Amino acid sequence: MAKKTFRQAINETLFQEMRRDPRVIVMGEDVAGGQGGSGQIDAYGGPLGVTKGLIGEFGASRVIDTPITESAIMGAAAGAAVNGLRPVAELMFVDFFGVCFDQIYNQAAKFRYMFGGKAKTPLVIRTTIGAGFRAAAQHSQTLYPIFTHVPGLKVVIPSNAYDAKGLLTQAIRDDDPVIFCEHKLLYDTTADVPDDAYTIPFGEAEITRDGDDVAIVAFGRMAHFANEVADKLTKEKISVRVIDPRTTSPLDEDTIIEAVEDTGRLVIVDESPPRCSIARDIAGLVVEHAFGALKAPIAQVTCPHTPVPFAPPLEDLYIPSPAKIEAAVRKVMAYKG
Amino acid sequence: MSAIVPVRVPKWGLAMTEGKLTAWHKTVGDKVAKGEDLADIESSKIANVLEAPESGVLRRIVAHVDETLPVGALLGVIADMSASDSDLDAYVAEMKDKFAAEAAEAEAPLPDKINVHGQTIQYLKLAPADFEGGVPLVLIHGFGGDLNNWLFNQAELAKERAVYAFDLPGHGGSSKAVADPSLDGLTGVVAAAIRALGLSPVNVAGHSLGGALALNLALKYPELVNAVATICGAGYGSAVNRDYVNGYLAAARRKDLQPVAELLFTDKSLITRDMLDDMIKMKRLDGVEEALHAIAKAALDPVALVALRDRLDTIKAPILGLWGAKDEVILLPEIIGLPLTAHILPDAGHMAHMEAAGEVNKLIEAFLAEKD
Repeated sequence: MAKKTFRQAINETLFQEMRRDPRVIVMGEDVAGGQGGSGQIDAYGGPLGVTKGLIGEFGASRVIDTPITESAIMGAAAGAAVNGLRPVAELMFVDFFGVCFDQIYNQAAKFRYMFGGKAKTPLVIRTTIGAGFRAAAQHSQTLYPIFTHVPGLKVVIPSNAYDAKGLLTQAIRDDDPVIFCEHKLLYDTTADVPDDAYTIPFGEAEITRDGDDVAIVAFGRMAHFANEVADKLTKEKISVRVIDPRTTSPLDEDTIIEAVEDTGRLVIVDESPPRCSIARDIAGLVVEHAFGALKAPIAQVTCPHTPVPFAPPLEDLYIPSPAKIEAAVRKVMAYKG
Repeated sequence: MSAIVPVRVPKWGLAMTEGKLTAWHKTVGDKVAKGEDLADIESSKIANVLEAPESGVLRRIVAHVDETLPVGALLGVIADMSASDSDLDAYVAEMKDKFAAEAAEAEAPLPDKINVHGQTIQYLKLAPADFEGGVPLVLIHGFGGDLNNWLFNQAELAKERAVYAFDLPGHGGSSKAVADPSLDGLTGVVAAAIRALGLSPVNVAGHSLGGALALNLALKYPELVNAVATICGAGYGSAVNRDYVNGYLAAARRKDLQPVAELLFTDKSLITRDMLDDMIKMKRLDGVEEALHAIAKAALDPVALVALRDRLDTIKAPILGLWGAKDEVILLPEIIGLPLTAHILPDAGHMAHMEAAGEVNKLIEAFLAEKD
């Protein structure tokens, strides 16, 4: 099996799904990759090189380079979806959701419900998330908790290239709106990715490390940090189970609760501010359904309740780190009622 | 013999790049016979016993337990007592780095693909370096498997002949669309692939469903087949455990697959999370689920398999039948009166070619050497 980057995995998925289904279209700012600049089409393959080559094979009618107006992109995509196309719309940075949220949460998310199941909205919104890119407070947030809050939206946070391909394929074939969150610092990570198409169902967590002493739940880039901590602590005979839920909506609650019942200790890692976060959401879930199994308070490793700092040392401090995760694991392990 | 023979980290399967030494069965100074258990090696996917490559005395142990080394790296040295200590030390010093570097540079053979009957068939060819002519061996995996199932067999059997491991339609790297999922349909594709590669006549060895296909190939295409070996083969009349087939079809997650995979092995510790992950990843590929359901229904149909058994006596090619005594997927059939040479491997389950690889390889090699 070939090693591919996260970026290649997404690009390959777009090619394969556009070939498989003529209803799949791509739209967004610069998705044609520099078209209109020097007149050269597909000069650099989109803002992060992810849509490279699509315009050449599928043409401008299926790879739609839009004006800089998120509200129009999402409105057009939602309308196209209810009318039979399967748009993959790009929101260049998730931080820009504010100007197009009506189209997403009050329109696309509710069509199926409000039309009594007669309308389908097979819409994928690909967006970039994450700090560490030195892009300041308005281009560095994660914000998946906001989309997870909305009934009718599915929310996907792939942590590696293999999952990215399988989950994006599933998202494009899904009949509901899906918010597909790509962490900017994962684009160059590699994994074994099959050439053939495959799907990974939503709501199925991946257990990336087996263990019985403590469980860590971590999403996206944080899953890598959690694995790193688990591997380190294994050498000290602390056996850490790592759960990457892969989707926050639907959430694989069973796998998380089972892990708490098996280990009695839980650390949740969430690269977002703590209030109304996925970490709090999972903590609430566990307290409600597995309180009796807990041997220590649940530890939450999140960002502080502040905007993402621009100063690099502060930005690094803002993001949950392997050291902070390790400290949280040690704390729950050391807890004596 | 006075030669110094290196004991090296084996390469079990395409994906193996390094191995962990988990135990030595011998200590320095012990006599070893060729084929005797020498050490335990673990890759990320599977653990197995490494057999002594030659008879002699284990004179040096270079790698210690729990050490992880690249494929090809030196583990120890076998020689007789005529080799001097200084010769051995010089040999170890020279070879230790040389082998590791050599192995890193060596290009692993990659699978190839051919088109037959509008379907793509993936195969892996391994052949001795100085190979000239001879009857090639074709390996056919079982239901839900792929050519990597022969990881402990193909390289070993390829010391004497060219060995081609196929991926069946709907499996591995072959087309996932299966035109005809019946025994005859799948056999037809195998026959067409053998013809397209210009191999016939061939020896053919099959595991489980692949065993039934090997027998059916000899029955329907006698001109293509020199000799047949089956390992825990279907097609001898005993039913296939539907708990296995249906459990495999239904499992979508590792934890659902674990109890199903346990039916395959006597030694359940051989099942690793990487092995289960690979199975789940294959099942997720577009078209695989449909293909497996269709094959389970058509090719593993008990009536079709009994019909095959009833015609075994018309097969002209000699047959070697190997069974694992602890097989939980295909129980030992009533073989009295069947026209074959049978061997029962006392400690093996359904994956006998993995669990008792050394024995299976020897039995197949001896059988083929006699029939060529």
